Amino acid sequence: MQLYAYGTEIEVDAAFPIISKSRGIPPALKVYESKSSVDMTENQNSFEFFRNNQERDIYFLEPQRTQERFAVLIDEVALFSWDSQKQGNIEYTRLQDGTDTHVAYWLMQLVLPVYFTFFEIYFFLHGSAVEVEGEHALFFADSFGGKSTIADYFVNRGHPLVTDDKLPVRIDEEVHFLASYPYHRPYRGVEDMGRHVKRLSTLQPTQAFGYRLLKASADDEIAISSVSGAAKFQIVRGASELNFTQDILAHTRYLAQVSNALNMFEISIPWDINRLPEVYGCIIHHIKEYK
Amino acid sequence: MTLTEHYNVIPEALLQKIDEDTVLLNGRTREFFTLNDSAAEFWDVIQSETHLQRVFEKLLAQYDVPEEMLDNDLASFVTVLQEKGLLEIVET
Repeated sequence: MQLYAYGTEIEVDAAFPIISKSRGIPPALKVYESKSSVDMTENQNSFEFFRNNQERDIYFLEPQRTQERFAVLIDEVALFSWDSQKQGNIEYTRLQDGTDTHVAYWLMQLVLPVYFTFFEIYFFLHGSAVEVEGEHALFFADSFGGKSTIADYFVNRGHPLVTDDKLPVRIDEEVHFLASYPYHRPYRGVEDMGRHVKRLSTLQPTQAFGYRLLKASADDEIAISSVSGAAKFQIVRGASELNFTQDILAHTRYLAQVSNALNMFEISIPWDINRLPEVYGCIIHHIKEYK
Repeated sequence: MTLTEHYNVIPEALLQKIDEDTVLLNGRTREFFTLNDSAAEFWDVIQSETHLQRVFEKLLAQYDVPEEMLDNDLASFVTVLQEKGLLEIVET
């Protein structure tokens, strides 16, 4: 089957639970299961432990160690790898817990962002985003700061999803914000694709609206204030799972470029789910006015 | 600080324009601070050299100020850069 995600036509060889419309052009990336099996008892020691990603331990095998392939091992799910010199193919070997759902979840949530970062195709921001009034509205916050809840509210009212968690950004002479894939997971700790979203944003704007969500008391007013200059740099965050390249200078430069491309604001969010409709209305009104 | 000292600027230091601000970023710590125009010019010279005496001479040629004033300003700026982890004085 062929699908469209992260601005890329992708051919996958399994009936993954991924529903996203291909644009009918040849795939730029093929993902297929390897015919050979992997003896993990022998291989695991050569992998560098990367992090525990809530659900699973994740290991990376840097190409310096093998001179040829970069690999991502999702503990007990699958080993994904690709030729470090050549784009276009991701191979995976299933492990004992490698169901279609698990493989698809990790492919979309982590492996593809790692692949795109590895080949410097995209830089990924950490945040959620939706389309509002023909613009991208990005939401930044600390953990459990409401990013997913806000995005969920917009999506449930028909706004196209841009991303649930990691926002792909292509940086050339300009900064381009793209959509990820049409699933939304306003919860954690479960290895599934989440809820399918009917509308995925197709915009690739070079400017966007960024909102830093600030928790406020349940009965506080909703206030939006502009943020400019260096303070914007404090708000934007790269996706921490993708900080494996060690190129801190490039990472910092990307964050600065993204900061320049964002119209940035802080919005105080009353911590009461019943007031979400007001927050929703405020953001829509704000973007309309600002435009 | 004495002008006879050598120094290294960390490779993760980055000067960027963000909107109207000129910002000096420390990629190691993600800390940053905003520079005024003079400080940005000081940084340009500091980054292109490794010896404080050379920096002083270049800035003196650039600015019409008394040597003592420039010496004090440079010393203050270098101290800030050291505190921010952007510049390290090298033992010679």
